[in-house]
Amino acid sequence: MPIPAPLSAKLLKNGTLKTYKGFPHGMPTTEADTINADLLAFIKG
Amino acid sequence: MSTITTKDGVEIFYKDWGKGQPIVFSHGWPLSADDWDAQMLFFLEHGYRVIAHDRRGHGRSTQVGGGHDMDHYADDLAALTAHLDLKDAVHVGHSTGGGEVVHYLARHGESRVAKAAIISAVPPLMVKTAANPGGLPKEVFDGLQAQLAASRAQFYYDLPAGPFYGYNRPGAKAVAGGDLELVAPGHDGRRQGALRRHRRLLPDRLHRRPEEDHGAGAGDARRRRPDRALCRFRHRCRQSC
Repeated sequence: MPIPAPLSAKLLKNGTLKTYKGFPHGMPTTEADTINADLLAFIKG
Repeated sequence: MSTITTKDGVEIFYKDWGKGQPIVFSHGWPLSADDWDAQMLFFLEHGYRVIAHDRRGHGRSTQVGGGHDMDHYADDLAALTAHLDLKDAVHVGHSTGGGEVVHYLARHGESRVAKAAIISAVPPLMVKTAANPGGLPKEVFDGLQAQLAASRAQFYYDLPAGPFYGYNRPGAKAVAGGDLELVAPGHDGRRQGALRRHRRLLPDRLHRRPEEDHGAGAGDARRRRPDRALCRFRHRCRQSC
């Protein structure tokens, strides 16, 4: 399955790409602990 | 229920909890605002105001037949952020919701927005075109539509069981509630809130009296028997049926 995120990050002026090896599409649900911690760091950063 | 009405007459349901810097969550297809519960509760506890809406045609928003495109999705989100007069907001979008967030920023500007994060999202483009040779062929999306039209129950079973939540992977641990979060809005968007947890979904379905569905007489015990049997099977029946 093609992943469009790297292209999105390249197109953005201030874009940061974060990749997670092996996480499924629904990662906010299945990997909530990781996603929440990283979102919190992003919002605070 | 908290709703706004868009200029084309669509009611958009939303949740708005807490105080502080707002974080606005845009869910993926074919889910609803409830898909963000794990994030809503986490960030609420960390002192943020958390907001999530059901996209048009999803969850508790109007099951409208038109306007299922990014322009409308972005405009619906803009109507919500204007209604709530949000400032310094962080937008988080998953899948289709990531497209909604990016399209919202492009169409309506960044004046209300501090940051945006998109997760497993569709931008810049999912479909394969001459300019986007790495995209998915249009036939893949047509296939999803065809599967849904052929058997929506099977489709809403297969989708979460497969790559959506990765339950088809070796060693993956499937969570029934996770499946049904996706199943529930597909089965009945208007009652999605009541149905989304499997412990509620199943008894709710099981307790539905057959006569409501088929117009059979209230005293028709034979038609009630499968309900009782299923309730016992599931050990979730706390009502006399």
